[in-house]
Amino acid sequence: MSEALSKPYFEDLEVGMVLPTMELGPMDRFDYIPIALILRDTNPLHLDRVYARERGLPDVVQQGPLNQAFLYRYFTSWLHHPWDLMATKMRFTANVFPDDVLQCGGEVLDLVEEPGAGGVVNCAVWQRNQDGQTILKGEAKGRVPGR
Amino acid sequence: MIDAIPRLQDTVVATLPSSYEPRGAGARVTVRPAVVLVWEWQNGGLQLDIDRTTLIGRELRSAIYTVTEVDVNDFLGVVDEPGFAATREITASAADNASLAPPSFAPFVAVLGLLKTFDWQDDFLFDYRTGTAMFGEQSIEFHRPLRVGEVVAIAASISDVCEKQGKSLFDVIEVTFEITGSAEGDRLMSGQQSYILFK
Repeated sequence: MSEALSKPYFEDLEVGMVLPTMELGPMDRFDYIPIALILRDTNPLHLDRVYARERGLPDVVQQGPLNQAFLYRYFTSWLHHPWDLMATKMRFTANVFPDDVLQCGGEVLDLVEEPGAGGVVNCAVWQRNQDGQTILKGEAKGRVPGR
Repeated sequence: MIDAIPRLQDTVVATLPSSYEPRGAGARVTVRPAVVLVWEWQNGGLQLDIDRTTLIGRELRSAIYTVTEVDVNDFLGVVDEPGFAATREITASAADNASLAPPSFAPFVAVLGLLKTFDWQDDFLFDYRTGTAMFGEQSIEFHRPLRVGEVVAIAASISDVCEKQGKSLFDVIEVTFEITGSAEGDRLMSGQQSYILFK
């Protein structure tokens, strides 16, 4: 689905540095069933193509938290340990549909060195579809070790 | 404009739109919401301008959610997360050995937990069956990792409401939440989630 990202060290980071991108997909409509069960959300918009088309949509809509999960997966796989994640702030701007291919990326916004080694990196993060339309955008903050 | 937060059993005062001919535009009438809904269904176009700013400060009901192996396994089947497995390996002495859920599962816990804390009709004055609602912005601060098998509690309140104009008019309801573990002072996540309710 995607390739592993190289891990950053604090000393190697600079404000404005672009993070490696990750491509995820194509999205699978059958994945929406277990996600609906986990979320206890049986909204037919996510499961019934006829219902979605009656509402002017091209297909069923992928659940928003799943879009977020892919962006979290992207950012946390860049960190040395996924739970080095400290904070996120994200905004939904468009829908994802089956067979979409998502690209995730980011840029370093801010760096704060911590006593000892390493520090905290705050990044702009985004997720776009194959047409370049932004699905999610926001910020993610995590701890990064020093060399 | 409604003068008070309506409940289904309440009587409310509303300003009528110009299309309501029997009384004329701007007339003030006292109606029950059910009556208004029937009138809207019959005539179309009666828009009640509900003032949701009165909801600011409302404490929502507390809720609990168990981070089950089933949920995390189902999640991992969709969002492949190298290095994470849902199987708990709890020894008699160390609950800390419980396997961790990936951070990507955290938005699910927040969304799921928050949906348990409110009722669309009673708390947001919104009929989910006929209206359109969307997730807005979500911000989360993480205080510690989430463990598979643990029970978490969600406390939430409505911290802000504002009306915005896009292609159509909508309200943004911001809910501030805190998710805690079973021990006193054990904070997992805190943050805000906003919901967009189209008018």
